[in-house]
Amino acid sequence: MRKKKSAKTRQTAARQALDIPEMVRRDVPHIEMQGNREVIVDGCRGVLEYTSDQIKLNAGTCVIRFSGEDLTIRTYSENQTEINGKILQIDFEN
Amino acid sequence: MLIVKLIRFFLGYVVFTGAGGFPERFLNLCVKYRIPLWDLKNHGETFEGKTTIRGYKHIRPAAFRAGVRLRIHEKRGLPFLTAQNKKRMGLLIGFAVCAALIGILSMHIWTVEVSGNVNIPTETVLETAERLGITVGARRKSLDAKALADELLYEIDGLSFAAVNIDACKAVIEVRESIAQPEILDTETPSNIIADEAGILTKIEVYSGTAALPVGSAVLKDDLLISGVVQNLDHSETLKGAQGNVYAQVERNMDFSCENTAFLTCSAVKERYILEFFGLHIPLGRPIGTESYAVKQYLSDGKTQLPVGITRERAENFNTETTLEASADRARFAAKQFASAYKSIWNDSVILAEHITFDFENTEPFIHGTVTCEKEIGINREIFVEKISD
Repeated sequence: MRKKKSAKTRQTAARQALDIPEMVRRDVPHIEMQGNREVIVDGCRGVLEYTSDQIKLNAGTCVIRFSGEDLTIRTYSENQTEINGKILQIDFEN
Repeated sequence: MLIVKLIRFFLGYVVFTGAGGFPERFLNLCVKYRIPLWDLKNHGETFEGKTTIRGYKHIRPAAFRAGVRLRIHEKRGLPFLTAQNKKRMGLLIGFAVCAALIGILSMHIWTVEVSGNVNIPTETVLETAERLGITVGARRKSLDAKALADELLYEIDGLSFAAVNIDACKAVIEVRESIAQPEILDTETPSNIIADEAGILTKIEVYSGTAALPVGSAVLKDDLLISGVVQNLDHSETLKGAQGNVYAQVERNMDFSCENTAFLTCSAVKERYILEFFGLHIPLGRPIGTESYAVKQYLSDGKTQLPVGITRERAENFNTETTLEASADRARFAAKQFASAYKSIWNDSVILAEHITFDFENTEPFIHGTVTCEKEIGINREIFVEKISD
C-alpha cells in the first residue's frame, strides 16, 4: 500500500520544485546583522534567557544564542527583536 | 530613529525597573499582552526597560505572573510635562502667544535686500520699492512679485532687468543695470580746440584738424590750439570738427588763511527716537520739525537684518555766528582748506612741482602754496559758418 505523504513533505517538495527561497518560509527566522554591534531577528517566538552576556531566543525551528558583552534588547515585539551590544558569538541549537 | 523618539516623547513613556522573578517570562508575557518594550538592559539582579503609558497600565498582570516586582524609575514625555505644569497658566499663555506671534510675523516681510546694482544706489532701489509696497512689514501674500518687478523696471531709469524674489520672510530685489549708450562724437560740425587757461604746451595729440602751435609755446586763455580748418593738397580748405588732446604746464597758487571767516555754530539740538518694529514706526517723543536727519539702526548679525530697530531723528539749528579763537584751530582750518584744494588738483592733473610754506602773519596762520602741474587745457569751440542760400 502506498504511504500517504505528510503536508510538510508536500510543501517542501513544492518549494523545491518552484525554487522558492528558504526565507519565505514562515517558521524560518530572518537574521540581519550590522557588524557585531546590532542584530535584528525577525520571527522570534520568545526570549529564553536574558543576561548582559547572553541572550537566548526561541526562533521556532531552532534556538539562537547570542553571546557577548553589554547586550541589551533595543526593541522587543511580536515580530521583531533587536539586540545591541558587543556580539562575540552566535550559536544555533536544535 | 529620530521620528520614533519624537513620537515617544509626544505620547509619553515610562522608565521602569524590575527585580526578582523570571525576567524572560515577563518579557514574553508582555509581548503576549501586546505591551511595547524597548531599551531593555539587564543589570544582573535587576533589569530596566521602557514602555508607553498605556503599556505600563497593562503591565501588572504580566509582572505578577512572572513574579517580577516593578517600580517606576522615571516618567518622561509631553503628557507628564504638561501635567507637572498644569497650574502654571502663565507658561501656557506664553507658549500660545509665542506661537501666535511667530505665526503672524512669518506672514510678513522681515527684510528687503537689493543685489546686482553697481551704479544705481541701493537706497534708490529701496525707496522705489517702498513706494511700490515692498517694505518691511508688508504682507507676503499681498505682493505680486512679477507685477512689482515690471513696475520697478518702469520706475528706475537704467535698469535692464528686475526681479522680486520672495524667499520666506525675505524679499530680494535682483536688478541688472543697462549699459549706457556710448556718446557719439560730432565730427561733422566745424570746430576749433582752444585753450581753457594759460600755460606752456607740453604735449599735443591731433586726431582731426591742424595743430596751431608747437609744443613749448606759451598760450593764454582762448588761444587757438587745434584748428578745424584743414588744407587739402589742391590748397583748398575744408572745415572739420577738430579733435585731439592738448596738455600744458600750468601753475596754481593756493593761499589759505582763516582771516575773517565766520562760522555758524549749532545753538539748539532736538532729538527724538522712533522704534521700528515690523514696519511700524512707534515715536518715542514729540515731532521735532521737518529739517532733521534720521539714522536708522536695525538688529543684525552682520548677514541678516531683523525688522526691529531704532531710528534717531536729530534737528540742529545753526544760526549763531562765531569765529575760531584758538590759533591752532585757525591753522587747522587753513590746512583743511589747502588739503581740499590740493586734492582737487591731484584728481584732474599730474603734479610736476610744488612749493608750500606755512607761517604766521601777525598771529594769523597762512599757507602759501604754488603747484605746477600738467593738465589738459583744450576745449571745443564751434566755428560759426554762415550758410548762404542760392
